[in-house]
Amino acid sequence: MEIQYIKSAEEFEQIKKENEFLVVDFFSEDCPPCEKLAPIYEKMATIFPTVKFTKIFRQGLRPLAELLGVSGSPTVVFFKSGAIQEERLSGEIKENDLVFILEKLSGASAEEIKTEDGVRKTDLCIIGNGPAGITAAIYAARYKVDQIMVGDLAGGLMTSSHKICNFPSQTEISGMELSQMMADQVNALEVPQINARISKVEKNSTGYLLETTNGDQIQTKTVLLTAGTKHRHLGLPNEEDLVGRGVSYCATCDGAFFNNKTVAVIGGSDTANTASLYLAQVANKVYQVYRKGALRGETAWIDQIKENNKIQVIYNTEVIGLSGENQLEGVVLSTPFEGNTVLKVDGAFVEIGSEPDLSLINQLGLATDEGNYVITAKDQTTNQSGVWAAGDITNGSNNFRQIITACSEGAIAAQNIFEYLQRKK
Amino acid sequence: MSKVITLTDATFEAEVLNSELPVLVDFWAPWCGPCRMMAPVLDELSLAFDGKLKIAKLDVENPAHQGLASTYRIQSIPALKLFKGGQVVKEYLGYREKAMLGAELVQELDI
Ligand SMILES: Cc1cc2nc3c(=O)[nH]c(=O)nc-3n(C[C@H](O)[C@H](O)[C@H](O)COP(=O)(O)OP(=O)(O)OC[C@H]3O[C@@H](n4cnc5c(N)ncnc54)[C@H](O)[C@@H]3O)c2cc1C
Repeated sequence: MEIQYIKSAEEFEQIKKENEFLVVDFFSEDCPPCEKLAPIYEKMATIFPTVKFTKIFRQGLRPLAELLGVSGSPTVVFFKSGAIQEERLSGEIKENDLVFILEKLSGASAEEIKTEDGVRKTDLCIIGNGPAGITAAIYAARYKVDQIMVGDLAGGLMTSSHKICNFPSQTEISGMELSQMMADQVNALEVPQINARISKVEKNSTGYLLETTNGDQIQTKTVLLTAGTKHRHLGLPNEEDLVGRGVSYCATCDGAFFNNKTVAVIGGSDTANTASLYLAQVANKVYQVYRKGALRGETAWIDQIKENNKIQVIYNTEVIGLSGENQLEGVVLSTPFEGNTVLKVDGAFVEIGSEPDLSLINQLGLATDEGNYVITAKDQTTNQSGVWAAGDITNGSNNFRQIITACSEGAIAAQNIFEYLQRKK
Repeated sequence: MSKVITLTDATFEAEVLNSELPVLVDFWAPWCGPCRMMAPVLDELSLAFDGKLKIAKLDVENPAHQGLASTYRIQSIPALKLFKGGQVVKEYLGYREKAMLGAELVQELDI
């Protein structure tokens, strides 16, 4: 539908009376965010045929703008049956926000992206928005592949890393910052994204029907699974009861609550080592309990642990119990330490690695290795046609699970999916 | 779109403890990934439960808020605490999906 330019207050009143759903975009000249909005606004007018789309040059109808409380450009205001709505948008207006309000206003769903039955159709659905998913989305966007990325944490697992020193171009950066930078890049490419998880998968004649935790449905020709891994738990009987009462799986999230306290870190890999180093900055004392005789991972971290007099590593020892009812009081050790089997601590950080979640893997029918990692070929294909996997969830990259290898697998997968879709055309 | 209220130590009493409506308080911090995942879920629930439940958040990174964090024994975030009549009646630790948290709240609030 055509966008109508309103030139007078009388014209506005008339249009307001005649249209159940009305949108007004107050714009100005020499206004970059207004120019940015223009094509989006035009697109919306084609997607929502029941809504009347209008524009008002704000400086031309200043009294009307002021009456409506509009003091900047662009400002988009919405009317339903003549009544102004509470929601309005101004400044840098995002397409998603506009769609959201228009859907709510008109009760219609965005037709262009959804078919009549409410299912979104796409050529590629990327499951997960960690480094693997984001990199794949960047490549796919540049190949102009029709795609949707579904995930609930931009940056994934690396958001919980307090210091990353091995990603080229970043001498030292927090996981949160690097995640934000990656997310900004994919957002700038306007990759369609849904902030949710995929909960259900069904194979059909044209590909896969996916369902999100928000209830959205996506029909896709290809799937790229980059859902990463989830924290491994100790598996002790009272563990779940003590989560948030001393037991934690994320040192960067919860470390700050153990200021000047005594904590244990369980594990001996890079994640455990960095957790100890991070916690030593806040806690009084850090005991790192590890079942083997020497720490694994980067020598740079291990050297720092050895030099840090707040950290004491207890080798060849396993945590076999957690003491405390409503609050963790200590960890029970397999071998006594300084004569005691219970090591008194205020907090215990479980850093014994992570493993893939099997629910989607099984629903997709993917073959896995003995560690539940998806078996992928060099081109990131899996045993199911139309399904690729990349990042921590796979057995690729020589089982070296890092940001850079996740990115690399994401890039390879996107390129291979592009070629596959080209061949199918 | 969100109706989530941002709390401070100064407004906590009025907005939470003396609130007529039940209040779900999200103790969170910017450095915490799962807290970021929680935020859009709470934004959406704040619209869905509008008029029945207030949803509010308190940033525990702010040094001025650490007294409240320790009063409510926060040791892990995100920590969601449901207040009724100034008392904590239920707590939800760690990330929850929208449908799950929504269902739990409906049950808890009897609505
Ligand atoms: C504390 C810590 C420190 C680390 N430090 C470093 C370091 O210094 N250098 C380094 O290179 N690596 C480091 N790593 C490892 C690095 O974080 C991972 O290798 C990398 O994040 C893997 O990326 P990914 O995209 O494969 O998976 P992830 O980062 O795990 O991302 C998976 C994404 O999928 C989403 N997801 C899960 N299930 C679903 C679903 N059903 N539907 C939709 N989305 C879903 C998740 O929310 C997440 O966003 C560290 C890890 C930790 C925990």
